[in-house]
Formats: sequence, C-alpha cells, structure tokens
Amino acid sequence: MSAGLDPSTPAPRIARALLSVVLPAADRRFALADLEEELEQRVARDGAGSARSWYRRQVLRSVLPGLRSRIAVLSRPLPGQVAGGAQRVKGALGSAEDRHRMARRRGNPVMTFLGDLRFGFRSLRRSPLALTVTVLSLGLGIGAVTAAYAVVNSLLFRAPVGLSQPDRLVTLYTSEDDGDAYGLSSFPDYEDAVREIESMQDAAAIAIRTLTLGGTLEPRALLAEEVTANYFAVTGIRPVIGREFAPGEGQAGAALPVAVLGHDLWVEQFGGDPGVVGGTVRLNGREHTVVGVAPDGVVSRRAPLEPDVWVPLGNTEGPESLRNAGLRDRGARRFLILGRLRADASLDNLRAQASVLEDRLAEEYPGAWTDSRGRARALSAVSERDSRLKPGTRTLLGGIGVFFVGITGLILLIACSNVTSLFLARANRRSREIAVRAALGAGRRRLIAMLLTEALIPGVAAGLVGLLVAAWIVGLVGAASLPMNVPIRLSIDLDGRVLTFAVASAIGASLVFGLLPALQGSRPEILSALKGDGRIRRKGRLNARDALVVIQCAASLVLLVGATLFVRALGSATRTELGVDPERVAVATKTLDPQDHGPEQGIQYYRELRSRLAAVPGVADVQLSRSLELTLLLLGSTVDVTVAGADPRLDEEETYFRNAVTPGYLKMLRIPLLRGRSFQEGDDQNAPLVAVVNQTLADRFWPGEDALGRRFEVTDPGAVRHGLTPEPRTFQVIGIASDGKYGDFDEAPTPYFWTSLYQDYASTVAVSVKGVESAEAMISVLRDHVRPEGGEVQLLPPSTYASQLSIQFVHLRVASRVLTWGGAFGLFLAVIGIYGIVSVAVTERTREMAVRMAIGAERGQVLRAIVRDGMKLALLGLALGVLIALPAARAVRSVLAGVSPLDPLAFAAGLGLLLLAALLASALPARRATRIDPMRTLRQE
Amino acid sequence: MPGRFLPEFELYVMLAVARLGDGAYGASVRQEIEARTGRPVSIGALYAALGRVEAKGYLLTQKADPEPGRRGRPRKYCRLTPAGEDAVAHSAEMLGRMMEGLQLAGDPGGTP
Repeated sequence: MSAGLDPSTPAPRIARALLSVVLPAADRRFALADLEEELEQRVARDGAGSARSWYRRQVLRSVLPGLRSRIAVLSRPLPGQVAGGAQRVKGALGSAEDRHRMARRRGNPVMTFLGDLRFGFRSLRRSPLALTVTVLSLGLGIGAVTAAYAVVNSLLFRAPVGLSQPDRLVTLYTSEDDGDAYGLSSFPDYEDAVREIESMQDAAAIAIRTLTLGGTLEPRALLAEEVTANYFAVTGIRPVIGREFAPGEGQAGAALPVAVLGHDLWVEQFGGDPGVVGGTVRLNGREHTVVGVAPDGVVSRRAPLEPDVWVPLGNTEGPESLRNAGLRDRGARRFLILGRLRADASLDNLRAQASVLEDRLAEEYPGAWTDSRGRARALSAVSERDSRLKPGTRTLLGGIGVFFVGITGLILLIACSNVTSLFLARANRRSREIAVRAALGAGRRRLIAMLLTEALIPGVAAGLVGLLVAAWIVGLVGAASLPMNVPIRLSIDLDGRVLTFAVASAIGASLVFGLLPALQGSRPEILSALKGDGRIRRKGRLNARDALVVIQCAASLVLLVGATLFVRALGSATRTELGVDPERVAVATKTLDPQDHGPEQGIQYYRELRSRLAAVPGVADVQLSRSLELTLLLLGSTVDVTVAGADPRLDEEETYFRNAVTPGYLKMLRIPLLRGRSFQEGDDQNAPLVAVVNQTLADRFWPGEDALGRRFEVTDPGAVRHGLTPEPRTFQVIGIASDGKYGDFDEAPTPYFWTSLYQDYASTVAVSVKGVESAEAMISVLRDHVRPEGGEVQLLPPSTYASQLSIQFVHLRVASRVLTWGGAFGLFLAVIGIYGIVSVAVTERTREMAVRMAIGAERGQVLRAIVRDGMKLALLGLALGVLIALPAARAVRSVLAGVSPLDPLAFAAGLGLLLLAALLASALPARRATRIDPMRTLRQE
Repeated sequence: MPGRFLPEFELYVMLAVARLGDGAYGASVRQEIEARTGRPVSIGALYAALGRVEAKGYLLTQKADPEPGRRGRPRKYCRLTPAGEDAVAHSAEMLGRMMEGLQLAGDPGGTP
C-alpha cells in the first residue's frame, strides 16, 4: 500500500489508505496525486499540521461521493451497450425493487449484488436508530480489536522500512552477566567480529544515546543512534534526501561532525524543508552538518522506536575519557552488531565462525569474557526477522499482545451478538416480506444472499468507523508519555496489514451477525407467515436467540472478572509497603562532566549545591544520592560484594545494589533505621569508609550475629564510567535499616546498602528536594537551580518523586485501564443486548401470556414463568463464563501482584452485576406485557 | 432535451474546466471552484462529478504520465467537448432567463 508513497510528503497514511479504498480504480492514482500536490503547497503555506488536517478533511468528505461513484461505475452499461442506456433503463424501471427483479432476470451476479445493496440501503434507512446502534457498537468493537492488532503488528510482525534484502541481515549478540544470551557487545569485540567472521560481508555497530537538540526555544532530548559510518551501507537504508555517512566520517580527527536526521524530526523541526541538507543542527552544544534525511518509518534496531537522528560513532562531543573508555574497553558493552551475510554464506557458516571467535576471546580476555557465574560468554547470531525485538522481550510482548487482542476480541464478540439479535428481530419482522418473495419463486440461496448483502452495509460502515477509532486509540497510545526525559516515539502504524485486518474483521463480523438471521429468516413457514401468526415459539430447544444470551453473558463475565482482578491488583500493588516515603519530595538529576570535575571538585560542587538549594525559601531539606530507589536510576548501581569468612550461599544469584547518599537522605525518605547510626557530614574522604545495610543483607552475611561494626569489601565495575578505576574497598557497617523495595514493587527482599556520597563519589546524582508545603512547588526550584549545562541531558527532568514511583505501576495501570474500560463497555453492550433479546422474546409471547391469563393464570405466575426462562439462559451463560474465566485468570497470574486468580470478590462482583442485569432485562418487559388486557391482545387476531 | 439541464455542481465543474483551459486537472479544478465560490469541494466529489459529466459526453479527459517536473505525479487533464460547451451555455442562459427581473433579498447583482 505504501509503494507509491512519496516519502517526502507527510500525507497521513491512514487517510490516504482510506481514500484509495473508496475511490474508483480509474480515478485513484490521479486523485491521490492531486491531493499530494496540494498538500505540498499547503505544507509550504500553512505548515505541516494544518495541511495534514486539511488532507484528512478532504478524505473524510470524499468517502461518500467516492463510494457512490464506485457503485455508479459498476452499474454503468457494459461495453457494447449504447451510451445513455443506463439512463433509459433507469427511466423504464422506476424503483429499486423493479431494478432488483430485472437484475435477477438478467442473472448478472454483480447486478444482483448491487440491486441487493441498494435495496439494503433503502430498507436500513427506514430504521436509522438500529443502523446507528449497529454501526457504532460494531465500530467500537472493530476499532478496539484493530488497535490491539496494530500494536502487536508493529511490535512483532511488521517488516522494517528501508532495509534491503533483510533476510541477509544478522544480529550478533554477546551473552550477558546473568547468562542471558542476547546482550550487547563491546567495540573491540565488534572490530574482531568484522575481521574474523568471514561469512559476514560487513557489519555495523549501533549504540543508542540521547542528545540534546539546541538552537530551539526549549532544548529537546533526542533519541540518537550512534553508528559506525557503514550503517547505511550495511542496512541498505537510503536517505530520501542527501547522502549517507562517508567512510571515515566520525573517526577521531574528522573535521566536522555530521548527522542524518530522522524523518519525523525533519518534518517537525524543519517543516520538511529539503534545504536542511548542508545546513547545521546543534547537538549537545556542537554544530553538526546535516548530510541527509532518513526515510519515514525507520525503526531502531534496539527498540520499536524511531530514532530522531543518526550520528557516526565518536563524532559527537562528549567527555573524552568516557568516549575512549567506551570504544577501547572490552567490558563496556553498549553496541548491537548488525551484519550482512556474504552472498555465498549461510547463517550456519556464520555461527560456526562466531563460535571460533568466542573461544579465542574467552581465552585471550578471561576478565571481560567471563560472566558473573564464572562461565565463558557466548556469541549468538540471530536472523533479522527474529531480532527485530530482543528475543526474550519478544515472547513477553507476544503474550501481552495476545492478551489485548483477546480482550478486545471479547468486546467485538459481544457487539456482534448484539447486532445479531437486532438482525434476528428484523428478519422476524420481515417474515411476511420474505414469505412473499419465497412465494414468488425466490430460492433459499437467493434469500440468504439478499440478507447477507444487507448485513454487509452496516458491517462495512462499522469497519470504517472502526478504523477511525483505531487511529484514535493508536494516537493515544503513541502519545502516552512517561515522566522521564527519554523521548519515546512508539512507531505504531496502521499499515496495509492492519487495514486488511480491520476489513477482514468487519466482513467477518457481518457474516457472523448476518448469517444466523439469514439462515433463520430464509426458512419461513410460508403459510403461517402469510397469515401473520408466525410467532409461536417452539418450545424445548435452544434457538439462535437463546444462544446469543448465553454467549453474551459468558463473554461479559470473563471481561468483568478480568477487570476486577486487575483493579484489585493495582490497589494491592499501590498499598505495598515501598519502604520510602515520597511525600513533598521532588527530584531531578545532575551530571557533572568528569573532565571538569574529579571526585574532589565534584564533592565540593555537591556541598555548594546543597547549601545553595537549602537557602531557597520553601525548601525544607536537600539531599543528593547516586541512585534513587524504585526509579530507573537504580540501573547500573550494582556492585560486587564479598565478606571475608562469610559464605553468602554462592549457589544463589544475587544482585547487590547500593546507593551513595548525603547524610540526611535516609531520614528525608523516612527509611527506618533499626539500629546504629546514619551518615554524618564528617563521613567524608578523610574518614573511614562506612555503610548502612538493610536487614536482608545483614542476615545474608552475618546470620544470627550482630552486623554492626562488621566490614565488607565492595568492587564497583561501573566505576570506569565515572573516570575511576574499579578496585575493592572495605566498608564498615554503622547502621542497619529495615527492608524496602528498591528495583520493583513486587520484588523479593533484596540485599541493599547505602554509602556516604562524600566517600563513594558519583558524577551523576539525583537531587531530591523536600518542600515545606508540597512537592509540586519544588519542581520549579529544581528547574531554576539544577539546570542542565552544556550538552547535559537530565536523565530525570524535575518531577515529583511520587510520579517517578508511579512508573513502577505503568503496566498494571495500562492493563487495568484497558480492562476497566473494556469491562464497562462490554457490560453496557451486554445489558443492552440481553435486554433487547429478552424483551423481543417477551413481546412475542404476549399472545401466549394473554391466553394463559384468559384461562385463569395469575399475573404473578406468568411473570415468574417468563423471568425464570430468562434467568435460566443467563445462568447457563454465566456458568460457561466461569469455566472460561478460571483458566484465563490463572494464565495472567504472574502480573496480578499477589491477588489470587480465584479472587472471590472479582467473581462475586461479576456474577452479581450480570445476574442483576439479566433480572432487570427480563422482568421489565415481562411486567409491561402482563399489564396488557388479555382480551385486547387476543382480539388483535 | 432533459439531459441538457445540469445540476449546479456539475455546472460549476464544467465552468471551472472551461476557465482553466489547458491547465484543467483535478487539483486545479478543485481549487478554482473553492476559490471562486467559497464552497468546499472534496476531491472524491470532484472526481465523481467529472465521471458523470464525462459519461454524458460533455468532457474529454487525457491522462498525462508522470513527468519529473511534478515530482513524478500523474495528472488527468480535462477539456469540454463542443456538446459540453453548448450545455453550459444553455444552462447559463436558462438560469439568466429565470433570474430576469427578479429582485431577491440577497441582491444577486450587488457589488463584487
């Protein structure tokens, strides 16, 4: 679908796709080209945003005329007929009915179909409310399921844009410390791989970093891919304007830094101006020459995100020491290796050569090539197809995808069964018309075809509504931002595959809800229908309508139970004792350039920063820390811990996290100290090294003994990042704090300790400020006093600590929101559906009730009988629902954060709500029916 | 000849095509109508109308293949047939006759 897309024109894709669907084939190419031309003029005149919304309006207004002329084109006279023939035929045959008959006689299936279509339009127009309800509820269902599919599609299935011969691309991973096979590689390893793996024609190294875009009103963080200069040659991605990186660009000593802009950044910041090539952009405070613009939709190899900019490795200004350490250190693994297979080599050849290389590296560099379990690291080669996502992530996301598609599928199922019941009722009302048709000789197949065609009309309309809904939901998902300063542009697109999915689900839905009524309606008992009493309910067997009630009750119960479970899980997660109190605290990060500040100057700077902030009115307390519990900053704060003589059960995989803090930190976050003392201002470079440990760590190393006063040895492998050498240092325990949560709110008790920042220096710190009144007021204090300088990117921009903690609950929050809305929507549809079905059934039994009452039945008796019938069905459906919900809830147990999948409250709430709904739905119409005077009902015959 | 009376929108389309001469194609016709009447015209409606007018034999179209000067975009150029010109003239004349001597609140002959 995107084949003809001019990549420099930002035509809204979904709108464009929609237009090309509705326009007749003969005009399509021209109309699209015309719109694109005007779009271009408007982008230049009014800007991209307003031009794109003009484009969307154009498309929306073109849908009806486009569809109409498609139909007109189809029904134009066939070649050979006299021009103007259609006009005459139209004149001679007045009504759609006549034309319909005419068409049938001609036996042309297209004409028959069009006749049915026209007739369907007319007959549906007579019940606009039913049509609206159908289109809207189906449309929402299709929209939800399509949006879920779009997310899954873009994460798992979508072929990446721009890659040439992707089946020849291979990703090479180095195993990680914990044994995970799919980790990043170091730059020296990359160089060795390029040299020694001969099956690899060429390979690029790719790292992700953030850069600050300057020269704009507000500095903006960009997602950048730092790549070797051959990146574009290896991937085959061709810039739409300008050129790719030249060989050698970015190497040390290259004259001018260069950059290739991402398509979205180019459109947003530079209005899609081709003249940007040759100009400069300011990245991290340094001018970069723009040499090219990448095509739209190029996704990072590291995450399903679209990079804003590509820069050659080593090109962009940054701390010299860091850069050198990053490129020469075999232990600094931050590169993804993407290689291209030689034409005459296979993946197996490559794997064999990689295993030779890994053996050599493990032998030559035992330090860097041994993981934390003491095993040699390994290289794994994975084809491009399987490496669009890191293999482990892939499985997880696949599970989440199935979950969302499942939930939305349930909603669509409920919507479908509602519409089915509507069409069933219509078919019943029209039984006389159908009987007439049958009596005049229409065969059963003919009748089914006619009724199905009618079902297609709301189905296709709902599909269009669904696409709009999906576009809206996808927009919301894409725009959802987290309170952190990492630009996230999820690349979710409604491409051809998603479009096909939406159309297929629309047609599928039409068949589902059209077929049942068509089958039932096309089998009229002609005689009784013509006489007008074809409404006698056959007893004893479950008819189609009953089955619908059962399905709806079951599906709604599954949705409701799911929603309740997730809401409960969220509640229980939020109530979990976190061990830190974020009240009135706002945070931001500060990074010092190791070139300008060694540990001495850095500590001096930190002391000054603290006293400067403490003097600001409204500030109650200021503390600095290397990391921040329960935030992303915790990453990279792991250290190796050993204790002389202690055996910390070596068979267990343990990660030791530590935080280096200023003296009042524990007190400010209300981390309870059980014994001993906390840090003092005097715990600085000149004093003995001290630490506060948590209960778990104390129990691990000194079980049954007093940990106070004990010593342990700490090695920080990450010290190299701060310009320090990693060497073991010995700390003495001065205090024991109670356990808390550090990485994740549902983690098991984890060993953890704190050191004094003045003794354990870090060049990046979190600045936490506690306000006298509120955390919100402190955000502006941080904005004013902890400003990023030079090319610094704040890992955490000023925000409240509470909002940072809430990121921890994002997955539960999203799931419970989806399910709550899904559940509410499903319940709403189900109640309407059950009410509709039961009330139609009751109305049809009015006569039977009248007879019963005429021969002496009490009103209450009749009422009870009807309600009993309705409830029987509902109970059947709910039982079925329980059978489905139980295993489904068990399947998602892992994310339920301690709530039992058999949570009685969730099941009771779901069952109760639905029973009440079913009771109301059958009692209200039954009551109305029994109020009617029996004699009047009977006299109507 | 009932076919010679044109619906208003088709009349607009044909007038725009006549005005634009050799430069009449989808986008230019659409803009011409919008600019002169202020009536928003969707590209779908325009092509539908062009199709109808062509079917009546009032319009000829010619497909022009992509040229580099237009960023490789194809165009469909249109021009009125003699019958089309007659039909426009006829409609305009009939419209004029109906308007003759008529005073409307909106002052049709007012300032430009």
